[in-house]
Amino acid sequence: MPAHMPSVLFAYSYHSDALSYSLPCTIYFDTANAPVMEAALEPSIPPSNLPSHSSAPSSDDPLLSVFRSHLEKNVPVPIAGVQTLLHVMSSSRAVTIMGIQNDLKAATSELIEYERRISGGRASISFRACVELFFRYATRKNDDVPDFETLNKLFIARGHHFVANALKSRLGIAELGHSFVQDGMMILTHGRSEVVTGVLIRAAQSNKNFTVMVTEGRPEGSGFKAAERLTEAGIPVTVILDSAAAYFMERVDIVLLGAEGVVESGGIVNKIGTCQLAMVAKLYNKPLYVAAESYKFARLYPLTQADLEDNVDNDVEKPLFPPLLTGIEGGTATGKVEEGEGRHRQERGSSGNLLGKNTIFDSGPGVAAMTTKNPSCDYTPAQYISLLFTDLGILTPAAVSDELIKLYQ
Amino acid sequence: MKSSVAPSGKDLDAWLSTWPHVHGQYRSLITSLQRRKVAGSLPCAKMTIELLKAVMGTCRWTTAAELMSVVKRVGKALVDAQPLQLVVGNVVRRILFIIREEHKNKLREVRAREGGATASLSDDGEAGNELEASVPGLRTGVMEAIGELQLELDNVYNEICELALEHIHANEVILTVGRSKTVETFLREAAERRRAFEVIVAESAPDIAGREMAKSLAAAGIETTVISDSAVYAIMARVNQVLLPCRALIANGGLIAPCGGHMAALAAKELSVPVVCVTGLFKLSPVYRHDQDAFNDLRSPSALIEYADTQLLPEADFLNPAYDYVPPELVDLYITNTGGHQTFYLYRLLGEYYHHDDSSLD
Repeated sequence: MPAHMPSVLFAYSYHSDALSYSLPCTIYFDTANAPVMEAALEPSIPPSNLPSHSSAPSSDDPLLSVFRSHLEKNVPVPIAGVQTLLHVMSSSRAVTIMGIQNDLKAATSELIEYERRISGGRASISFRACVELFFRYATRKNDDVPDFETLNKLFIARGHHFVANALKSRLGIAELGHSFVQDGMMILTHGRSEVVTGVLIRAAQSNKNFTVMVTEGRPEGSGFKAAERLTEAGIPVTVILDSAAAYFMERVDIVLLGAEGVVESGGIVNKIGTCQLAMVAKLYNKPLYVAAESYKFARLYPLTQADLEDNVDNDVEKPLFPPLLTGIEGGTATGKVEEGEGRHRQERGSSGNLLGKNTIFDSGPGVAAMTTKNPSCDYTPAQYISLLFTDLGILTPAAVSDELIKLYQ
Repeated sequence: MKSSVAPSGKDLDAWLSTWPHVHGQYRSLITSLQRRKVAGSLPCAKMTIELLKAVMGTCRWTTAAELMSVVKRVGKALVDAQPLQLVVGNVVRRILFIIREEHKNKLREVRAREGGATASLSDDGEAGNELEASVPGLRTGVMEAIGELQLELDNVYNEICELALEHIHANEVILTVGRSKTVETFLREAAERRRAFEVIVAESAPDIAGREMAKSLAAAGIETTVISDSAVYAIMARVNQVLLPCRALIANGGLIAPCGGHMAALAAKELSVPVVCVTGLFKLSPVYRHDQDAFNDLRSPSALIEYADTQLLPEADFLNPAYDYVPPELVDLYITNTGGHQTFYLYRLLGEYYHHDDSSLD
C-alpha cells in the first residue's frame, strides 16, 4: 500500500450503548500522519471489534483515559470534556493562575483533537462552547481570595456545580418540552438526539398517545438508534428515508429536533439534512421545535453553509454508503449488520472516490471517476425555527442572542 | 395552631376559613369566575390582585418561600375556577415574580450590611434555599410593589392611548374585528384629539359585538362602517391598517383574538396591510400553545340557531367558538402600555414580568 493511503479503517460508535443496529461514521487514519493510535480506541467497542493494530498504547495518556471513562457513563461529550478539565485542575502541579490556564488550554486542544478524530468533529461546536462557558463560569475573578490554593479549590467547586447543572439540564428540558406533545400527534424527528428522546419519553410517561416518525439519519443511521430507544419506551415509531420527509410532512403535526450547536442568530447547527427538513416544515406551516442544552449555545454567526467549515470539522470525505445499509432489509430496523469487522472496512479507491466497496455500488469503471461529498452537519437559519426548548426556559430564536450575552457577560 | 404552609386543593378552603374575611372574599371571587360574572380581563386582574393582597396581609407566613406557596395555592384555585381567563394566572405569576425580586433585594441589603466577602462567595448557592431565609421588611416591600402593579393596571388605558396619534394617521382607513374596550378607547382617543380617520368594523357574528363597537365609535364622531365578517377580504384593499383586539398575548408572540381575528390577519397579510394589536401587557401570558383548540371556548350555539329550529336540521351540529389563535408571523406590531413592541421582542418582556420557575402553579 502506498504510504499516502489510509491504512487503518474501522468503525467506531459515538454513543456507548447499543451497537447492534448501526455503525456510525467510518473514519480513516493515515498512519503516517497519525502515528499514535490511542485516539482510535472507543471504549464501547468490544475488543473483538477492534482492528488488530490498535493495540497501540491506548491508555497511556491519562487525560484521554479520564475522558473516556466519563464518556462511558453516557455523559454528553462536552460535559465529559469539562469533567476531564476538572480532573486536570485538581491534579495540575501549576502554582499560578497563568500556569493552570496553560494546562487547561493544552488539555482542551488535546481533547478537541481527540473528539474530532473519534466523531468526525460533529460535537466540536458544543464542545468548544461548553468549555468556554465553563471557563467563564468557573474562573471568574475573585479578589478577596487570599492564595492560589483556595482559589483553585473555589474554581473546582464552581466547575462541579457547572457540571451538575449541565447534567440536570436534559431533565429540565424534558419537563418543559413535553407539554408541547399532545394526544394524537405525529411528531417528526431527524437523526438521534438524547434531549429529543428525553422529551418524547417524558411525554409518553405522562400518558400521552402519539406516534413518532424518525428519519433514518444517513449516513450513520442514527435515526435507527433513536427509533430503538423510543420503541423500548413503548412509543410507536416509524422509520422513514431522509428523502421521504417531504412526502410525510403533510401528516406531521410538529417537528422536534436536537442540535449540535445553537448559534447567535437563533439558528442551529445539526445533523446533515436538518436544513432541508426545516424548509419543508416551513412550507407546510408545521411548527419546528429544537431541544438543546444551553451549553450548546455558541458565539458563532454563520451566514452560509460554507461558514460552518471553519467551526465544524465537516469532514466531507466520509463514505456515502457505510455498511449499515447492507444490513437493513425492507426499510425497517429489524436487520442487523452481519459479518464482522471485515464488512465494516471501507477502502478508498486510488482515484479518491469514497463510495466504498461493500455498499450499494460496487466500484465499477464509472464509480472510480465519481467524486462524492459528505458533510456531517448543516446550518438551519432561525427563520425556520418556532421555539427552542432549553434549560434556560422556552426561547424564541430571537432570545438566543440575549441569553448568549447574559452567559458571556 | 395551624401550619403556615397552605394546603392545596380542597383543604385550602378549610385552611383559609380561619380568616373569615379573606375566606369570604376568596369564595366570592371563585364563584364569580366560575359563573363568568366578572366581565373583561382588567376587572378580573384587579380583583385577583385585591384578593391576593388580602391573603398576604392576613395569612401566616414568615419567609418568601412560604408566602409564595400561599400565593401559588390560592392562585391555582382561581385559575382552575376559570382556566380560559388567562389574566388571572398572569397576575398570580406576576406577584410571585414580585416576591422573588423583593426577597432578592432585601437579602442583598442584609448581606451588604453583614459584610461583602460572604455574599460574593455564596452567590453560587441554590436559589431555592435562599427563599427559605427570613428577611425583615419583605412584607412592606412586596405590598409596595403590588401597589405599583395596581397603579399600572389603573393607568393601562391612559398609557396605551398616549400612543394613539402616533399610530393613527389622518385619513386612514382602519379595520377592526368585534368589540374591545382597549381598541375602542384607543380609537376614541385619536378622534378626541381631532384626528380624522375612518373605521370599518367587522360585525363579528354571531354575537355581533362589532355593531355595538360601531355604535360607540360613531357616537364619538368617528366615520364608521359596519361590514359582515365574510366581507373582510373584499374590503381589505381599501384598508390602511388592521387593529386587532386581544384576549391574551401568548409567549411565542402569538395572540388569542376574538373569532375572526385570524381570518382578518390572513387577509391583511395577503394584501400587505399592517396588522397591529392594541393591548395592555397584563394580558401577556407565559403559556405556549399552537393548537387552535387549546384556549378556545365553545359558546352556546343559540346565537346561531334557535333551539326550536334545530328540529328542522336534526343531523347538523352547530358550533360557536369564541376565539382565534393568530400566529406571531401575522402580527406586525403590539401597542402596549409600555410602548410599541415587535413580536420577537415579547420574550424579553416575559422575562421582565415572570420567572420561568413559576410557569406551572402546581
